[in-house]
Amino acid sequence: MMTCQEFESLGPDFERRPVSRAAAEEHLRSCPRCSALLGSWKDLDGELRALARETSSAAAPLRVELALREAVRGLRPQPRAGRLVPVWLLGPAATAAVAFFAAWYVLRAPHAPQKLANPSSSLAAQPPVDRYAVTNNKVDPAASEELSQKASGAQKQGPRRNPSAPAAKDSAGEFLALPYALPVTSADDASVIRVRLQRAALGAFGLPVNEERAAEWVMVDLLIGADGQPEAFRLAR
Amino acid sequence: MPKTPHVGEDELLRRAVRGDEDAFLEIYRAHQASLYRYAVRMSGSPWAAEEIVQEVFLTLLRAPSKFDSARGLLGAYLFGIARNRVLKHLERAPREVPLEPDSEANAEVHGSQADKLAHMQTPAAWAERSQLTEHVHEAVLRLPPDFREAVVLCELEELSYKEAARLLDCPIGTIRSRLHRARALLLAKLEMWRSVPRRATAR
Ligand SMILES: [Zn+2]
Repeated sequence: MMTCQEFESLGPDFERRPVSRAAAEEHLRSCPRCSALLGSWKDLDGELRALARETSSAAAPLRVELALREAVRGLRPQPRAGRLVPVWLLGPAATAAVAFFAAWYVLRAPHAPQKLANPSSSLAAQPPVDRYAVTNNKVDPAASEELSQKASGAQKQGPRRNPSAPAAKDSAGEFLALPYALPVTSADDASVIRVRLQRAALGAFGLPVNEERAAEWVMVDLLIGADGQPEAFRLAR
Repeated sequence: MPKTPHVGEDELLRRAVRGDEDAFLEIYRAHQASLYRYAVRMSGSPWAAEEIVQEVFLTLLRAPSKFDSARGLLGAYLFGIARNRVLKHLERAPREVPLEPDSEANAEVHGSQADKLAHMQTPAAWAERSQLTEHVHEAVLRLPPDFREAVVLCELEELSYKEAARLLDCPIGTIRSRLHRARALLLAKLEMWRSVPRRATAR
């Protein structure tokens, strides 16, 4: 004769085990406690199935797919200027650094960002960042040399797009210096990290944020200096 | 979790890391939903699940050579990455899941947990959701991760014990016993919630 303990250790799937099924059924006929327990198991299974049904169609939101597709596009070989590393492929450390930075920055009082184009800014002497061809998180030296030859012209004209730079076609606008940032690192040491932030976080960058859209995610390129600190940002498309 | 074998997963992956979006999408769409479900059911947080799914595929793209098709299916490999991320998330954010179901202080947290699940649902589905199911969900989220995982895989994802054991690389008996203990804990929690003993007295 099966004991209560033996029945309990079988669990509700005893029905699937022919060896123990007969003994368990016999026990159930004479044991109200275990009959009640079986009832509880069945109720619980029913609830778990309901929970499973409720979440069975859950899937990652489309924005994940879009972001990943963009990362994949960034992997296409770029014969001329080196490729823009899909910058969030840089790894968890960089992502964590950016997350830390964003959290820290949100806590600061916002200041108006300086425009790189402003000739009085110490940042104005830097070439616009669209012109940085980033390869494996470092500026491609060849592209950098090519670009630096054009840099003097660029300074007079202000920021402009360089159509050969891979970032140019994907990204909108010029980089804005972060209000607290030190003058931008030389081109050779800069890199760009693309991150996903909620619009609310942009307020801390000095951008106006529409409250209704504050929870929306946007792509932001961060210009990271040689010391690993973000120096400027722009909205990516 | 892992789907049936995909012919040419290796080749798809090779093409994806060279920037072939279609190849990547074939991989992504075959696996994202089950990974997301696992992550959201384990974490109770759609936000965390979204981040985890994204991170899983970025990891694949960063280091495709770490996937060795001779050692298993891509789905199982991706699940392994997702599982690591989920466990890290649970270590980092254990307090997202309230410990005491009945304290007033947790009422808000309950609300937010409910909101989190509601985020996955249509409003109609949410309205129809029974209170009991809600409590079951809360109780599942409060299980120790090992037990919760057994419930998520075997009860919610409806894997066989054998499939779950293979996925978690543990004996079938381990799965069975975790599930058994999880069930006992869930029943205890639900009984606490009902405050009415349902079991007949042991004789
Ligand atoms: Zn009994």
